[in-house]
Amino acid sequence: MEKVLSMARGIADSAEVYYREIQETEIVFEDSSPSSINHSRRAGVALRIRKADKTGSSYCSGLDDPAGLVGRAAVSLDAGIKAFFTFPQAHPAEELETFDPEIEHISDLQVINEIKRICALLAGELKGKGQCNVTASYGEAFFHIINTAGLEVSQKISFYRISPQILFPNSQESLRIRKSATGFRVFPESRLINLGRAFLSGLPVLDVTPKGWDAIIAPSAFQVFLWRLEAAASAASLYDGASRLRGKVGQKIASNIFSLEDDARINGNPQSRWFDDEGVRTRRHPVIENGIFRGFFSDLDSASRLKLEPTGHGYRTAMWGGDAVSLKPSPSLSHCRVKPGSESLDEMIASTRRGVLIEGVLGAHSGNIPNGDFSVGMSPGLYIENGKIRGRLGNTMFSGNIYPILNKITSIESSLHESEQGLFPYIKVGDVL
Amino acid sequence: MKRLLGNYLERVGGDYSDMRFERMERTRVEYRGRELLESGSSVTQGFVLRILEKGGFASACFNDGSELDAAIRKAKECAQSMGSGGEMNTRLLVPPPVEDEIEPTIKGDPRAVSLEEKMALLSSYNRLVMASRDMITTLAVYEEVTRERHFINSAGTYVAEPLVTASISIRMIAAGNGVLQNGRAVVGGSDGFERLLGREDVFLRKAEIVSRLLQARPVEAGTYNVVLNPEMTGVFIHEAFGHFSEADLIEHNPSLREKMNMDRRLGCELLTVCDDPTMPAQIGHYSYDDEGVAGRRVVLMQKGILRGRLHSMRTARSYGESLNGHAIAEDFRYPPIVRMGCIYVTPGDNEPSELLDGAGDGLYVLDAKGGQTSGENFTFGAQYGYLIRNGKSGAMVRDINLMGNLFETLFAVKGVGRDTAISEMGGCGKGQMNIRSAMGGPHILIKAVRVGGC
Repeated sequence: MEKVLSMARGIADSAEVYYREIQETEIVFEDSSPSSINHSRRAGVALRIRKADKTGSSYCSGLDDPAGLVGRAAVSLDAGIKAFFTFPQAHPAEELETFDPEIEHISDLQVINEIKRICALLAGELKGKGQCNVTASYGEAFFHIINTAGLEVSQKISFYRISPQILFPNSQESLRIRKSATGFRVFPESRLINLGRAFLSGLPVLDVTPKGWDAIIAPSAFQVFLWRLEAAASAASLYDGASRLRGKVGQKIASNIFSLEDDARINGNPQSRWFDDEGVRTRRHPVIENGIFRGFFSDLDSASRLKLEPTGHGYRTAMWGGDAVSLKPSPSLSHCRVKPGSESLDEMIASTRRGVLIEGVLGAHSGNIPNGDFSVGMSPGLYIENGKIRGRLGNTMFSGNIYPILNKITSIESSLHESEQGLFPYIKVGDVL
Repeated sequence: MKRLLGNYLERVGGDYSDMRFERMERTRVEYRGRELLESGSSVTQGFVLRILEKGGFASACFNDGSELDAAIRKAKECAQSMGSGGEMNTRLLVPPPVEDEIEPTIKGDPRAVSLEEKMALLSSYNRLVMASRDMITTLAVYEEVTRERHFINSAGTYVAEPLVTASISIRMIAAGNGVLQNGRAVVGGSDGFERLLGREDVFLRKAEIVSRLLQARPVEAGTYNVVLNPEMTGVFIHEAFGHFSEADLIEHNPSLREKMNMDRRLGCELLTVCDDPTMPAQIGHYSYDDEGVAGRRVVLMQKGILRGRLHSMRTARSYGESLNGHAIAEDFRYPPIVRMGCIYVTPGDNEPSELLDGAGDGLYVLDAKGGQTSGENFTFGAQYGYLIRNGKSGAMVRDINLMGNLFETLFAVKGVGRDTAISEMGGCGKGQMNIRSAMGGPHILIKAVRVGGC
C-alpha cells in the first residue's frame, strides 16, 4: 500500500489507498440436509487521487500491479471530475472489540454439528409440518486505509453468523431469525422454540381482507421504512434537491415514541467500525429522536458540498452481492438501531384486536423510494384476531407512504433483533391496513 | 492460459474438479445531474476452484495463483467436512469433454472506443434529460463489463469465452406538485457499442413520462384486469415462473418440487415460455455457462404444461434431466448457481389493442421497476400505467405494484400479443447480481391481478 501511495504522490497532490480483505466460509443446509459449502478469500484495493481541484479513482483485486492501479487513476483524473473533499488528517487509533482470536479455531465440522443440532431441535418442534433451512458463515475481515494527509487506520473483524429459517409448505415464505457475534456461539434454544411456535400458529392460510387494521412490523420487514428514510436523510439527496426531509431538521416527522440512530461503535458487534471507508472516525448519529428529525448523515463528498462536518458514513456498499471495492464511498446507514420501547411482542399481539404481523415483505426495493412511497407483498403476513395469531394471509399487499405511517406508531417492542442493517424491535402501527 | 490452468488442476485431485479464471475489466462513467462524478476503468481477477470428493462438493474462490495451495487445502477440507460430517452425497452429470474458444459477435467493440467518446455519448443523453421539464437530478451511468472467462475441468473440457456487456442507464427524478417522481431508461446489450448510439428518443420519452407522473394520481389499490407491456411481461415471467424453473431453487424443497413435476399443467394454453441464452444480441447472450456446458434453448412451458427446467451439472444429475448450460456466476468471486439466461414468453395471436379491449375496465402497466419472488408468491412494480376504460387507455396513474401467486396467475393469462421485445436492461439478484439476466415477451392480458396502491 505504501508503494501505491508513493507512486500516486508522483502524479497527484494527495491520495488515499483503501484495502479490504475478507475470508469467509459459508455452509448451507436446506431441508435439514447439506446443500453447499463455499470458501472465499477476496481482496480489493481502491485508489483515490486528487490534483488541484480534480479527482480520479481506480481499483483492483490485489497489490501486485501498483503501476496499473496508479495509471488507471491518472486516466480517471484526466476526465475532469471536480473534487470537493480533502482526505482526512491522522487521528489516534481506537480499540473496538470486533476481533475474537478464537475464530481461527472454528472448524467446518463444529459449524455443521451446530446446524444439525438446530435442525433436529426444530424438527422436534415442527413435527413434519415445515422444513428447516440454516445458513451459517464465519471468517475474518481486515480494513486498512492510508492517505497522504498522514492517516493510517486499520481494523480486524471476526464474524460468525447463523440464520435458521422455517419454510411454510408449498412455499418459500418463511420465518427467519439470525444471530451474529465475533466468534462461535451456541444458538439459544429458547429462540428456536419460539420460532417453531410462531411458525405453527401461522400455518393455516386464511382468506381475509385487511380493513382498518393494525400492523406489527417485524425487524426483517423494517427495511421498507429504512431504505426510504435513508434516501431522504442522506446528505447526497439533500445536495441533489431530492430529499423529502429538506428543511425539516428539528421538525416532527414521526411518533414521539420513535427514535432511530446509527451507531457503528458497539463492542462485540462484528459489524462495528471505528472509522468508515474513508478513514473518518465514526460516531453515534441520531437520525430521529422522539419523533424529531435530527439531521442528515454524510460522507466526505456530500459534507464538503454542503459545508458540513462529515458524520463518518462514507461506506463502499453494494447490494445483491456486488463488489463493494468497485464502488466509491457514498453516505450509508450501516449500523442502525431503533430505540426499544416498553412492551414485549407477546403483549403487542395480545393487545391487537385485528391486525397483521408482517414478518417479511416482497418488493421493498421497488416503488417511489425518494418520495417515501411503498407497495409491498406481505411474505408472510400473520393474521391476528383478538390477541392471537390465527394463521397467515395469502396474496396480501401493504402500501402507503412512510411519513404518515411513522406518525401512527403506537408501540415499540422492548427487545432488539438483528436484521440486515442493524438492530430493530417489532413496531406496531395503528389503522394502516 | 489453458496450460496454466491445466497445471493448476493437476494439483487438485478429487473425484472431479474444475477451475475458472476470470479477468474482469469494468469501465464506468457517471453523472449526477450535470456533474461528472466518475470516469475510468479498473481491472480485477480471480479463480474459482471446485472439487467433488466422496460426495462432498465444495468451492474456493481466490484472487491470485500464489494462493492456489491454500485454496486447494481449504476446498478439500470443506468437501471432506460436508461429505463425512454433513453426509452430503453430491453427484454430477459431467458432459463429454469439449475444447472451444469463442469470440463474441460485436458491432463496434466497446473496448476499442475511447473513454472520451463514451463520456461524450453519456453526457449528450444526460443533458437532454436534465433539460427536460421538471427534472431536478439524474444518475446517468455508462457501464461496460468484460469478463474474460477461462474454464477447465478434470474431464478434459477447456472453454474460453469473453462476455462483453455495455449499457447506458439514466435514473431521473422530477419534482413538482408537492411530490418527487422517478423513472429509469436503459439501453444496452452484449453486441457492442453501436447499439448505444442514436438512442435519444428512449431517454427523452422516459423524461417526458416522469414529468407527467407528477400530475398522475396514485392507482387505487384493488383487483384489476391488467395489460402488461413487453418489459413488464419479461419481469412477470421472470419472477412468477422463471425462478421456479431454476432447479436449485426447489431442489431441496420437497413440497414445491412435487408441485413442479414435469408435464404438469401450470398455466393456460396460451402460454409458452422459453429460456435461450444463445439468442444473439440480447444482453444475456453466452455460448457456454460457467461450468463449461454449452447453453441451449429450453422450452420451459408449452401451452401451459411444464416441459423443462434450468440446470447445473449437480441439479441435472439430481433430477435425472438433461444439461442445458444455465449455471452462471456473477464473476470470479462466486461459484455458479442456476440462473435464467434469457427468459421470454413466445408471441401469440392478439394485437395489443385487442388485449386492451379484452381488459374492458382495467390497467395498462408499463416498464419494470423491480420484482421479487418468494416461493409461489411474487411482486413486481411498474414505472407507470394508464387506466383502461371500455377497452381504451386513459388517465396516467402511478405507484403500481402487482402481486400474484404462481399457481393461480398463470391460469389468469387471457391474451398474448403478436408483438415481442427483449428488454435491454438485464438484472437479477438471486444470491449474486447477474447483470446479464435477460427477459421479455409480447404484451399480455391477465385477469384479476392484485394491485397495491399507495
